[in-house]
Amino acid sequence: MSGETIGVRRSERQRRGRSTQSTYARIRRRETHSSRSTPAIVVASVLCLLCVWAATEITLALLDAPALVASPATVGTALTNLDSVPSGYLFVAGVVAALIGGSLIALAVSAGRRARHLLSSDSHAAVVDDNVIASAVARRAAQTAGISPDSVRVTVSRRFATVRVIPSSGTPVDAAAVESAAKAQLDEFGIVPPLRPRVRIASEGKVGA
Amino acid sequence: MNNTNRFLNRLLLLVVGTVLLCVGVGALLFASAPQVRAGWRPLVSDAAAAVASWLNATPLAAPLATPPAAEPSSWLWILAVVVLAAAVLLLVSFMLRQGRGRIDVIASRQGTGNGAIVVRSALAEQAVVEALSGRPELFSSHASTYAVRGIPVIKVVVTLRRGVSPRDVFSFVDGILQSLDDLLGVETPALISLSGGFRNKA
Repeated sequence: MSGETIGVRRSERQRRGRSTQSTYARIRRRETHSSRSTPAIVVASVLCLLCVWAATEITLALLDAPALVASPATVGTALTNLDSVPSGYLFVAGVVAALIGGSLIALAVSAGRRARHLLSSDSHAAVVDDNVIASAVARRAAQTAGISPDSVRVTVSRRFATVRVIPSSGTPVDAAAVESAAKAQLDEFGIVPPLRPRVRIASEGKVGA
Repeated sequence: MNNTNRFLNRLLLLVVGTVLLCVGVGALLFASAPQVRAGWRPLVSDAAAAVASWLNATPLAAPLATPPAAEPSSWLWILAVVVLAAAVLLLVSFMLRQGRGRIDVIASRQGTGNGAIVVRSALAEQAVVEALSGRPELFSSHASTYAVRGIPVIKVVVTLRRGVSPRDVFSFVDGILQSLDDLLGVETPALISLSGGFRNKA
């Protein structure tokens, strides 16, 4: 067959195997971490506004027209007289600026993991929201313990699925059975990084069903 | 899956954050340490003298204002406006480039003669969504196609009903994507995103 083909031809899958894997690695990484787009757009907008304002003030000053907020000369004078500003204002401004700056730095360097896990798979990349895993585990746990699904709450963190059971009065709950059922279920799901179940039975039960 | 330059996002946050932090710490020092305050005047008057000398050394030939101002202004200001305008353009293009990367064509092949076969991604997307519609485990499904490093990749987002096993749904969607590959004769990488949605009651 002549000509170029876009898309991976089945017969080329072995040869292209490595590049498909690196494509999947990139996809998996990007789908499980935050892009920081929102804070970046906010910061970029603020910078944009500042630049537009500064350019407008300079242009107005060049044309000898009255300033919008503060002409370059006013800004220069204010900076020169900074040492006569009451230290209270400077302190507050300093704290605010330092806090915002610190938060931005934290956003920039922290991993930003999203509430998601990967499903292990040979064929395609799969990413699951943590609340999907949680509701599946909760349903199986409620079935195993013989209680209503409303009495079970599951929280999924990076490495643990914590099953919290609120027993109804008079009905004991077999924590070991719930834990082994959850473990079997999580192993069958094949989640990366692997989730281990933890079962917590509330010390105070609910009256009734 | 899109083209967003995440490194650039984080770099912008890091640079602006560091500047703000330094300014903040500087203001705190100013407010608390008298030595800093005392040192400000000489520093500023040196800087003001330097700036004044630059401005005087670069006079504007033709006056801009009508009627002309008393003393000639400097073309450094015009340079400043140009630089600021360029910065605005860069920032706007940075904001607009977030989240791009969708493509229209999922596969194409040049024919032996003058023709070509082009498979639009809409075909694949609609086929997948159609195959998934009516499944009781799913609330909804949606497909889109992105170019990841030049390779077309299908992204299928399915919203599961409460309590449904993600592994079961994954197997089913995987099977549908295999059928799609068989149909098209090319193997398209795919991402399956199993989401809980906003409302996920059965």
